[in-house]
Amino acid sequence: MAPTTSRDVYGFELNCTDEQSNIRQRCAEKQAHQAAKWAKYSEKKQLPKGDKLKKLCRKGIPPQYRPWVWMSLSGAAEKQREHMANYYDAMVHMGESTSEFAHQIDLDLARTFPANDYMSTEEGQAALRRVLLAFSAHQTQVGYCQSMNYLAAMLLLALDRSEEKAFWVLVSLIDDGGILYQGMYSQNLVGAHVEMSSLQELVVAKLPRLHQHFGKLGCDMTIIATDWFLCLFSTSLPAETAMRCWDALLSEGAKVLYRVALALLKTHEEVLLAQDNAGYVLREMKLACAAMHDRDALLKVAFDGVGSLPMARIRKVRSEKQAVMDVELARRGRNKAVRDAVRDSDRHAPFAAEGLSSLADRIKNAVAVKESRYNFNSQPTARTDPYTIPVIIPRSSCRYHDTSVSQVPFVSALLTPRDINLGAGMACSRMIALLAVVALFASAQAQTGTSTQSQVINRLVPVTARIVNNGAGAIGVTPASSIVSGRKLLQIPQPALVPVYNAPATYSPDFVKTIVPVTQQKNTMAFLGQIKQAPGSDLGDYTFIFGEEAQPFLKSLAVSGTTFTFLGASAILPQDQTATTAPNSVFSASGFVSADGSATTAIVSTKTPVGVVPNVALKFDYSQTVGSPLVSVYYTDRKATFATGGYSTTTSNLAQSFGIYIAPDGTVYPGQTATGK
Amino acid sequence: MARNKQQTGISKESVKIVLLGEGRVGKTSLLARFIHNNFKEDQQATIQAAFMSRQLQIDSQQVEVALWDTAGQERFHSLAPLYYRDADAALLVYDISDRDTLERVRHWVKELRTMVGDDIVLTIVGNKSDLERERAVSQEEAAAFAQSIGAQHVSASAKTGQGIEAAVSGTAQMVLASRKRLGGSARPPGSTGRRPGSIVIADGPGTRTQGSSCC
Repeated sequence: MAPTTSRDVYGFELNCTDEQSNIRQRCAEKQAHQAAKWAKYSEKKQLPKGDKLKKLCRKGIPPQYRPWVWMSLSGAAEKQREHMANYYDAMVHMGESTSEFAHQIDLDLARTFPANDYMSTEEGQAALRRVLLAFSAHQTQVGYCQSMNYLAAMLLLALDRSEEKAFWVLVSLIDDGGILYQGMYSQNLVGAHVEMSSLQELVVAKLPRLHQHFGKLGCDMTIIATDWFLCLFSTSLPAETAMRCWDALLSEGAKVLYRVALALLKTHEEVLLAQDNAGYVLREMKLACAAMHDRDALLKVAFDGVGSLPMARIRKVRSEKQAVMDVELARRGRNKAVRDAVRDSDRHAPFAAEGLSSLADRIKNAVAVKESRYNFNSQPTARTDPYTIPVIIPRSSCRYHDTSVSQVPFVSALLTPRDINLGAGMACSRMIALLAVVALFASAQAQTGTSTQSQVINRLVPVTARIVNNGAGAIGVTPASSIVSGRKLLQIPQPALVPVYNAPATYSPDFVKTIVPVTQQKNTMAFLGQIKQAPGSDLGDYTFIFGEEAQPFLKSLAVSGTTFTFLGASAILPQDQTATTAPNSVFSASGFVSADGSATTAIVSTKTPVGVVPNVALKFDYSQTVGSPLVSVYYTDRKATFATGGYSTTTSNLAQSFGIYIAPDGTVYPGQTATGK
Repeated sequence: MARNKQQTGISKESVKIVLLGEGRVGKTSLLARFIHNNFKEDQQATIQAAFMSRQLQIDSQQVEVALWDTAGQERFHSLAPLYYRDADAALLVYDISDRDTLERVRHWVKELRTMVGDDIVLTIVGNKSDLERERAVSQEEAAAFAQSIGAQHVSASAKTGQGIEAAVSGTAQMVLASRKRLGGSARPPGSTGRRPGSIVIADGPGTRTQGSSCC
């Protein structure tokens, strides 16, 4: 049957087969039936309460009532009341005069539903432009992200073409704490990534066959569902169907997106299962969505056909995925800082010819030396002295590779990233600092004999770091203590903190931080640290960013005023332990900095099964950027193995840092030789 | 998805090509022209990548060309690895009337070389060749750039249809040739080389996580 062309209530072209037309007719009749129920509420401009409202919204809000119902449902009306009366106009004005997104917005105006009756008019595009500009001024962090154009356009169409209403509903969707998940439209689309992997997780549980099939095809949810969550189905489903989803979305929140997504997948499961590559899956899914005129059927499956989906569950999945994302973003941020630094520094100072490959060679050699000396597989040898490695890194070569030293490939190939941490970075415009930390391998048994009950399994390496404001940074490291773990606690005498070198007088340090592990018991590890900050320092309050090595230990450490906290909890998996017996370890720390800044105390607690004490070393790497040091956490007990009824240690990894000194010209020297330079 | 065995037992080649480039350079329009032979002045902005395929006859061989259209806006960059990871080739599209879009192509070259390697066949497509009067990037410059990175350069217009067949079939041809050179061992079918559900965020051009040697 040839499809006939018509228009829907929002001015979109429809090419429906007879069957689809009949379906639309049926849905329209139901809608008329619902309209009778809404009429009385509309008269009083008073929404029903609680469950009644939810049920009504699930059955669809007739288009004529959407303007006021949506304003009220979404919280937009309230937001509007909270702001001054001409806020929208003010934002439009601000956006028109200052928005850095104006160009991008202008480019997209004609590309937003170009076939729609209203959006193809100048008037419609001008309205869309104002709403988007106003939003970009209202939420400068988010600004404008493609896909918001479709939301704003749909809102204009659904809300009597009222720009102000469209604006406020858009705000209540995207603002922090709004209806949609945080960061959906941010740089990198972090929120969207979280939503996609969360959806993936739910598909595992709800549609296992499909999940398995997609897995085989390498078909990620992101491939199929990104626009569902970013455009809220407005670019995939027929408008009337999409708006039905919005009715429920505005009333119940973002979990409706999950319900509809699962319903779409479920409804077309057989078709999707029959596709043998990701491209065909995407194509079929798009076709199926575009033909989804039976809004009643879709919403019925969404609410009755996908089983229970409590918000708590979505929140839990989201927070897990967000954590993964955060670590990834921290890594990304660090890499970007390095790139920017390298780019930035190049403009300021020329550099010596020795290349990054030279650094790499040196590290490789050092590792090779250590491996021969500390062959942890056979004949481990005790080692107590600090180890240094000469490193010279000209920035020019960094630029050539445009790559962070933490990613020098063969180092990673020799040792795991946790074992080796090569953090590269820079501080302010004149400085590039590079810190190399190479793991030493040493056998616990070699150091302490064979007892499995009380063993030295590793050392924690306290770090002294110095940063000077003129741009040169220096980092000195020395092993200061050993930590005993096992069932019997051994107290190791606390050696005095000795920096590997003294900072030259010309670079008087205005920032010193030390963290010394004091004691470690089964469940608690205490750090005594010191933070000194010179008056007038520009370091200010800062947030620590954890490197990927920190995963899964810590997520963030915030320092504000005189208190700081570590956040994060994770599974601690000694290398040889299987996942099924994995203990969950909660790692948290809190502390305070004394008012004069002279001392900091932190208590780090870990909740772990008896006998397992995750040993971590913290490294504060100020080379990243002044103001946001990188904290690396090492597993120092990664080699611990478990035996039935007890706990034995075979080998331990010792994380150790190298003292290096970065001269003002950016050359990095080993700590010792830097003295007096 | 390198190749499918059809029921006849004759092996059928399949080439996966991903389209990358700044927003509004005309990726979707190029595809629409190639697949449906039509053109719309105002093409809806792409959010969700799209997949299309067409059969081509190359050297008396049936080849299925699978094309992936992607979103161009900078913010969507983090989605791109999903599509280019197991691609045989990329069409890097710029708009001849907009210099900045060629810059973006340079970034893509860098990223693809870093993330995917040297095996991926690159074709640089200067779209909107019908806008000759507004040309901001000279043919010579673009061609020289393409040559410097071992890519071919094609001038095309989705509006007039010029150059598109050449771009796609030329690219497919190069993929087939390089496959032959490598003894027919294409990438494993459909693999993305990663666990489903894991999150991919590409760093900007020029970084890599641990990988093969670069020094």
